[in-house]
Amino acid sequence: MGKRKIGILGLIWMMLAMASCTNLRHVSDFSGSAKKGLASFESLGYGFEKSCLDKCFEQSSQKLELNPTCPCQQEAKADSATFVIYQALSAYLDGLNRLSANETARYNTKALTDQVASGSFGGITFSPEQATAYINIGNIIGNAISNGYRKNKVRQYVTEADPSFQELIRFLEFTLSRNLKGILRNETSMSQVTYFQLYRDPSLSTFEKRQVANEYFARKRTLEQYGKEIDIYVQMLAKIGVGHRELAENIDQWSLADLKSQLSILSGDLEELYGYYKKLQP
Amino acid sequence: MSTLSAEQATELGDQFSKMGDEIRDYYLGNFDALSHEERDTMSKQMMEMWSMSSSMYTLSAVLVLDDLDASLQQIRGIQAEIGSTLKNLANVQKAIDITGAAVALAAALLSKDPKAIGTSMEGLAGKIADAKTA
Repeated sequence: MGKRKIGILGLIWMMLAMASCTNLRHVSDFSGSAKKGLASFESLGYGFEKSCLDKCFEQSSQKLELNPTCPCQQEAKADSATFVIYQALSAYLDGLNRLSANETARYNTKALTDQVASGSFGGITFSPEQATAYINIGNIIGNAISNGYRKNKVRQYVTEADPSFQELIRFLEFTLSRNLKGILRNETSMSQVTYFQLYRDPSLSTFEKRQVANEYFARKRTLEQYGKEIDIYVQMLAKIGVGHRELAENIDQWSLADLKSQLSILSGDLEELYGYYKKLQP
Repeated sequence: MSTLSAEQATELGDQFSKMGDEIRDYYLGNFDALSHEERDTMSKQMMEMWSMSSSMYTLSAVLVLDDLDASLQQIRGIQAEIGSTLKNLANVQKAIDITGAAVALAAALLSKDPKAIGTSMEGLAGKIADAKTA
């Protein structure tokens, strides 16, 4: 091959490189951060069944009952219902992340390119420049085809999924911020009254009252910790919802720098919230 | 109760919780002035209010699923489609593997090297067999 052929190869390479610049990186980055943030659900310290068991054990402890029967089936059902919503969102984000990740569609042409690079085909020898150009074209063709396919699929799925995605996010937010936080608030109030009654019990010595006070402060701190975890998690859910909506509404403008910038900010916010969340973990 | 929506159950939970809070504020503020019987009665009442409130919140979390049935079905369907697309991508990899092996055979034929031709033909046959068995 002469210099002219290398020049043509170079030109083709550049054209294909431009064609294959269907950059799904912002989708991949966002869905990756969203998936990670969403998964914090599994490490939330508080849940419906836990609240029921805590209450049951506390009451049993007051009655000095060591083998309590705790009827918490409905609370376990509430946890399952919440988990079903989480799981559906998580599976979807995982699929979106894998579909938009470059690794999924980066085809392996190594076996072929190794042979070409080594110039092992009998009479034909390739110069390093020729081999490089050949290898690059092979890779770019493969990725250009698959990127076009992935781009269309990502567009289709994100647009179709958005209304349901928003609804599921909204209900998960609702269940955690209103229902679970409500139960936590009730438990905090019950705890306050229970410890107040113990503290005012005239049969307790000053030493015992001090122990009661310390126990109350420890319990209060634990419940506040659960509350903070839920608050941060709900903030992450809101960011995930906004990010997905941004993606769905602007998906036809793939080159739009604003969309990438917006998603990048949201991914950054999610990472920051995730960092706060991890710090809260015991 | 079966016609109660998740939002309505939460709203009831909020109301019971507030009633419990109001009894608590009175109880704590007037503790010394209350008789033992009054303390017992009020204590039971507020605990009952918070307990009912928590039951309402729990019921709401269960009812949420009824409200979300259509959305859950749709998002699961889309997730299954993504899975199938990813499988197709794996098939594209097979197609590219086959194409790569064919290119290697073409290069070997051009080189007129019998050993390279034989190896490349075996390689191509192997890739086609892999694709058929997948």
